[in-house]
Amino acid sequence: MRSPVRRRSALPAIFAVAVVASLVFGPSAPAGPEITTAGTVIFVHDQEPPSLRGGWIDNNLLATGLLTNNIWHGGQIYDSRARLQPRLFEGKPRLVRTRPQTVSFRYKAAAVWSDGRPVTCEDLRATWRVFVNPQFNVVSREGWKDVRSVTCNGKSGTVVFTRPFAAWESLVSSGVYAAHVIRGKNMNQMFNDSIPVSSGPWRFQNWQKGVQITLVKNPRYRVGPPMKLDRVVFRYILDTNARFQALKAREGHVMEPQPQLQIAEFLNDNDFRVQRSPEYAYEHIDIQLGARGHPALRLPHVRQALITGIDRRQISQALFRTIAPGLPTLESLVFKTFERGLYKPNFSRWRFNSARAISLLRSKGCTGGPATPTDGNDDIYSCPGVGRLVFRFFTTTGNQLRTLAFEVIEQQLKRVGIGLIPRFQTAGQLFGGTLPSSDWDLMMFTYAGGPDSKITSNTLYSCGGDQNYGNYCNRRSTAAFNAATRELDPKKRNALLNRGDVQLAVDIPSIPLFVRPKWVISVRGLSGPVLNTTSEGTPWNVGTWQLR
Amino acid sequence: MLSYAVRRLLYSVVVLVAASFLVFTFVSLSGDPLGQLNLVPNLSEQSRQNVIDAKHLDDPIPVRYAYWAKDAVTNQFGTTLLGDRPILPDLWRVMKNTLQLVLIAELLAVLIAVVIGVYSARHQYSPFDYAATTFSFLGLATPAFWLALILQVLVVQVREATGHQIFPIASLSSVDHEGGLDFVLDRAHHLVLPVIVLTVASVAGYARYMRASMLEVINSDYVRTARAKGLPERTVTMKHAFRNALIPLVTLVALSFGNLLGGAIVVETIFSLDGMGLYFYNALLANDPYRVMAWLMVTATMIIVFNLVADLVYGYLDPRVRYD
Amino acid sequence: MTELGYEAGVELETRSQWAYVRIRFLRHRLAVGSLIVLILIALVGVFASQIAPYGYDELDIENASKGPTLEDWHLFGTDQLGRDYFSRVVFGVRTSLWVAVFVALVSTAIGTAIGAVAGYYGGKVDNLLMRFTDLVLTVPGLAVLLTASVFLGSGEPLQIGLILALLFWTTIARIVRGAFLSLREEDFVDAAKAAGASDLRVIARHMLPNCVGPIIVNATLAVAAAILVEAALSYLGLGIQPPNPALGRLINEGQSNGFELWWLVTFPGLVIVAIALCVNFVGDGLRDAFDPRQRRVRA
Repeated sequence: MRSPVRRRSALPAIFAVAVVASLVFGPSAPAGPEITTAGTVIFVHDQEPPSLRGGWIDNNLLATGLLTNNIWHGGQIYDSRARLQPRLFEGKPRLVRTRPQTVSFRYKAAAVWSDGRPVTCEDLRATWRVFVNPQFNVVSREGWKDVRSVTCNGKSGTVVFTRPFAAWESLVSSGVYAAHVIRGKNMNQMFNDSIPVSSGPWRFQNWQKGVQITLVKNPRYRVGPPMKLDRVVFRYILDTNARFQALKAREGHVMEPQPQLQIAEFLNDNDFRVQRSPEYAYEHIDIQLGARGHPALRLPHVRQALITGIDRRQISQALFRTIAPGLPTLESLVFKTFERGLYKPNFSRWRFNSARAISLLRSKGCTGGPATPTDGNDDIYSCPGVGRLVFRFFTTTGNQLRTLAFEVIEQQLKRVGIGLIPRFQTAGQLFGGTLPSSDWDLMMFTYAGGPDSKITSNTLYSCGGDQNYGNYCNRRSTAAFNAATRELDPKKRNALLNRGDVQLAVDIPSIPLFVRPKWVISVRGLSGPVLNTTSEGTPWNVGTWQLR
Repeated sequence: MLSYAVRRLLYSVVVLVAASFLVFTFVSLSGDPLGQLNLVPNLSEQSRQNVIDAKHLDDPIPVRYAYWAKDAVTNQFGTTLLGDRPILPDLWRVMKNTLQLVLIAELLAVLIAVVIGVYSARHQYSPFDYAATTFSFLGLATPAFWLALILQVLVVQVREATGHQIFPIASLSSVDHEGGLDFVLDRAHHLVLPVIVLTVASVAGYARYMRASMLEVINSDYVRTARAKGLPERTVTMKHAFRNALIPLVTLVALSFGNLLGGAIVVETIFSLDGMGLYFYNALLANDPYRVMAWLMVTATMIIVFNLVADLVYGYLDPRVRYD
Repeated sequence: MTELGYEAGVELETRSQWAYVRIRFLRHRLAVGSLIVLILIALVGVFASQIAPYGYDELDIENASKGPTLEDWHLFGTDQLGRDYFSRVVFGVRTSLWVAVFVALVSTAIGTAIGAVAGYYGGKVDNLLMRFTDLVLTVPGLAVLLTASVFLGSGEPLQIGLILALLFWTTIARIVRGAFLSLREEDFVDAAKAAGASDLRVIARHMLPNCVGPIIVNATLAVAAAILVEAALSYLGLGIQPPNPALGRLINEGQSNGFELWWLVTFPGLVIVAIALCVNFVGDGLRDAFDPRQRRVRA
């Protein structure tokens, strides 16, 4: 009679023990950082870096840069207007001679590492050696591989190039490693989980994997505005909704959201400040001109029909009506809309006009489609010698805005008798397999970049360019773009780039859609964050941040 | 019995090796792990070639598989494909997190299911029985990810109305916490919503199973004999019926372990929990066969062990079962 | 266990087994009610083009993100591009139901075939087939599905259906195998073989009809499971691809505004729950109907 009672009452006890045991047996609590209630800002982000070794082949993320730009500080940094401002450098580096290209610079006397050692030219030299070492898997050696020598004299140094390199200023101003820390080390394994020193406003303290990274103020930082805050905690939350909710629940103070429609909720909320600006990344539709693409795409009038048949303004409106109203259409493949003085809307000759798209097709003998732009049309045009105008349209899966964009584009093109076959793939498949195989017709994706990206437009558009997966080839634009990479005079360089862009607007190897906007949402109590559209990111001026 | 167990294990090893080859092939063919680099301007071909050489990406798949197998055995599953980062420490960390979540959810589910099942069986056709049955069916019909979303929405709505957030909706821990007990409580607080989602999915199935099993036993001859002997109903239920009805449930729980790990993928993605499901999902999207294979080996081994234990326990408890 | 009450003097009618099943099923009010609901939903799916007030991809950006209202028949509101959500859900029902039924049929066919062969021949064949089943079961289902989806790329409903079917057959295979293992010893099998029937004929004509019950029940339950798994896959971004508005994908697309535009997530979810619920009830009713031992006294 007693055993059932005993067994029943044992069960909850066993359960309780199991629960507590499982919680305790779980990951042991990491040494928690000191609790400082005032002076901690929580930066909510979506992508946790795989390691702290930025600029590596496995770690080419902006998310890592947000952390390391203020640790491996640069001679200069890009401010919110994309101008280089001196930090570790004493003034700007100077172009001393053009043949051979020679640059000189000097680090500030006050520039020191967090362990007390001074920042010297040796650090830049050591960084150069890392970038040219064939065993180290850096993602790009561009620029560094054109350096013949770095001659050091304490804080001053001179860099001599083997051949003209146009983007020299940002190269020598980039962040440098601490020579005394990396000497003799295998860089492929360094800074996996921690960084022992810093030359910037903050230094690394702690990484709770899968949850957050904590950075604390670097007391030895003098070359720029020192941090008023005690800590900045980068908190990694994968789910989009949860990230926005973290801000609303005051579990986060600032974030750089992806283009998501929820941003609209914050625009009207007085508790938050939303800053918005177009940035260097731009969305476009590449057209395949190679043998494995649809033959119709090699006909100029078909490409012209495509660009006039797509209402790019309607796409921007549909996607960004609530979160970035008034986003301008991009009319250049080289310059961005906000690059005043440089941007020329070379593509604006192809204004949206469905009727014109149809007449372009019909004038070249295409038949089978609607005579006038018709809603709900299902007839597709066929052109002589190339068949029906039905194109495979590739883009990434799981991206809300891209899905919406595709659906809008499909609708618009159906009205003029051009059909699309959707092909949504994961980023790995799309960029890893499909893109380089050139076995696609149309592909919509984003090129990221920065102020210097336009200089290397030749990789995208020159005949045989490394990233010219659309197989576009035109001698005039190729000559212009190739020359631009070696032109040290900015005015001449921009003129060359524009000449190439004008040719692109004639040939239409790609349809520019819009520059991506970038947002920063911060709570009212946090003053200081200013949006920075370069890869510096929002923490570029963390020294001015204050919590009220 | 021992020979049976040994034979099962041997078969399982063969099955595991075959499965591993299939999955390796799938993942390797799914895409180029170096693919995303095609978008990087001025990519260093040297670095790309270094990775290809180190991981033998130019070799045919069976050769790559052989290299992987060697790595798996001699080097603790090796390192990640791109970053050359040791896999096992990360896998171990995420496994502990997931096991916490899954074990708590299972224990809770079994407990609730047993109570519901026994009570429903004893009071068949009562309002409680109907209610429990309806709840079970609802639980079986609700997609886990949808339930998770709805819970998040509810918590957020409550917060907007009252200003107080009752449960965290993401992540494993808060920004600031001490070690020790504070850490445990903080973790428990963060796991409430994910555990609810996983438990609901399991309770529904288990409760119905328990009820059916209990009913079958209650109406059986030996229970009728016990009643005829004049034993009080409580004793009949708890001592005789319950024990025997529990046996099939135990095996069911062990067998559903595999499904639970699958369900954890969805829950971990929505609640941003640093667990095995998320690890697998990221590894898959990165086309990294090393991480996927390590995950697979660990998971499959756990499932095989659980299945074997379930069958052995069943055989031990139920003398009618004979294994040849 | 005769369900016929008989009055004195009335002759007993004999009924076929199917008649008994039908009678017992019809006594489950819940199952019958669910069947009716299911048929209605299926009709909505089949006649989607007629029932939906708009096309599923009709953009109307001026009217985007409006809540459910009777104006303009936007019963479920509109989404971020102004598309009528009721229409999208209706077309989504069509796609999701189609895939679910396809998966159930194909997986039942495969599973029955494999289980029958394994159970009938026994011995080495059985061992081999069961170990193969183990191979499929050893890996968590969702993991295999994700891998297969990434591998096979673009998600047409047919492709996704095939992938799902290749995972769902294991349950049915085990059940059929178990049934065949015991049926193998029955006399009628020996009789049929003695009469010269080929193996195929014995399996198909004599043995299979005896385990039709569990097969049908499992096929029904597979429909529910398939809907849930397909929804989960689409939600994770790897299931059915645009522009097909499968229900899981609708939830995926709607979830980023799920807290403001609540209807985007709620309605597809409710429809999934409703379908899965009804299918489960029907399956439960069928299980009771096929099993003569269950005593269900329902007035």
